[in-house]
Amino acid sequence: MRGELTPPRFGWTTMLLVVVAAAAIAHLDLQLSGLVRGWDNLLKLGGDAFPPQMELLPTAFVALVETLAIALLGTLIGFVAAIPLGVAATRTLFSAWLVVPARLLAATVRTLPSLLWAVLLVILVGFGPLAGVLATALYTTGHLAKLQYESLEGLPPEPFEAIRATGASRLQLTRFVALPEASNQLLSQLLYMFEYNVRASSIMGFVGAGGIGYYIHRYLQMLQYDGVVTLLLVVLVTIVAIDALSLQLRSRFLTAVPGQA
Amino acid sequence: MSALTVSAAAPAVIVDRLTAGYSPRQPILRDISITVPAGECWAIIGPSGGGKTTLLRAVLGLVRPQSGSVTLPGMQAHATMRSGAIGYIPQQLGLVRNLTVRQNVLLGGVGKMSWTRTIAGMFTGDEVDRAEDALTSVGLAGRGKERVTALSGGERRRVAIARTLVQRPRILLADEFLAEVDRVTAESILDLLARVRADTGMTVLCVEHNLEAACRIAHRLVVLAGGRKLRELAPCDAGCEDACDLFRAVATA
Repeated sequence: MRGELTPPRFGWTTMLLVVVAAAAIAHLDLQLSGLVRGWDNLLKLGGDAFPPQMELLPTAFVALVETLAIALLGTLIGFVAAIPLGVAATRTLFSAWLVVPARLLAATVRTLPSLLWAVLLVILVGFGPLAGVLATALYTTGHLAKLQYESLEGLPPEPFEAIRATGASRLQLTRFVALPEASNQLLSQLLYMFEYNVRASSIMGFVGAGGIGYYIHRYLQMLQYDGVVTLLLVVLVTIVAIDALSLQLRSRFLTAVPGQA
Repeated sequence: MSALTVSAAAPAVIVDRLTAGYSPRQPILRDISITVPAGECWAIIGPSGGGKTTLLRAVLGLVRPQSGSVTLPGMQAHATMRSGAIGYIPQQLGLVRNLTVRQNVLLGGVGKMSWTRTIAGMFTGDEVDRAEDALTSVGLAGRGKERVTALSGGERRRVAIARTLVQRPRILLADEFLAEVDRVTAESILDLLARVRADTGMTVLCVEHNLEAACRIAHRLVVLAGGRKLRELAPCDAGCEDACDLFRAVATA
């Protein structure tokens, strides 16, 4: 059995990747001299940016709270909207005539990132956080619905079979078996999505959909790099803190129920 | 089958020359016929991979016959799953992990709830009382608020029985009911099952690995190996010894 000892070979795959990468470089016509200029500019930017504009902090915090509020509301609305969609898209619960359209709808709203939804919604409902909330909610609906139906389909079949035999309808199976069984995963996904949406909504102000992105955009245009750096630091610290908190909470959810019943 | 006459020996489950499985080319069950009279308890025994679980699932309607038929007199074909008249306790019991003991027992009766109460998740006081009664009769009084994951293997089996008590099915299908349970616990669960059967007149068809237990509870043993029915034994006249010999013979064949 000598053959079993040889490592897997990647000959063709590697060659294909190299060719694709080379084609991409040729297509992009990358001006590598920019790297040298970039280094000089970095030093200059560093000089301009420090010391950060501390007097900008109060404005930054107010805008940050708006960003967090947009992310929170958008995530919650998206979560509530995603559940019926995710359930309807679950193959183990419903038949194709419901699953296929539900998946199509979820995939469609997920195609546009929330920033592009924000562009569209700013046109529809005007500038301000409303557009941001709606954009976040839309994208979240599509993204969470997918995560949800994948979780629901991965649940062990025995409880479904046992409860189906009691004469339970699909609605009853969803309500009393699927959602409780998946609840830890659903909550973990909710936190993950909030974390994701804080990142996404911090740039939504670029297109006028509210939050701290508006100021980042404005200070960039005014070439006030010290202001930009201050705002970016505020965003960075917040996102790192929320990521850490969310990671801890999520790991708690996912280990809360060890063993199987 | 004109077996609708109501008598003590009226059949509750008629499996007639059943061939079934998950792929048409390789049926798991071949040409199986059994007739379980109402109120009796039958045990299916045999080596692993012999088709025991598949036979239970075919009776439940989760596996469609490729030829032959499964008839449950008094119930409409294809409507059996929805009627709630058949209880099913899978080998892994099928308890919902994130729910409490009492909530799991309440699930035995969800089939009768309206959609509004379903969405609200609201159970009537009556339903809750019945769940508590069921818990009391399986010896888990006062444990309703605990999570099922906090219970021992034997206690979880009791919860599954309590769920069946709330459902009140005419037929109970139980798969490897005593797997992974110590001897003393197995004894008490067998006693409980016997009591439930005496009270409700429920017909039981179970898969049982433990021959001794099968002989104790069953009116008849069906020996299944390689997807075929080898024999039907009365536990008393054939005796456990005979069954064991047969078991060994098919396991090594």
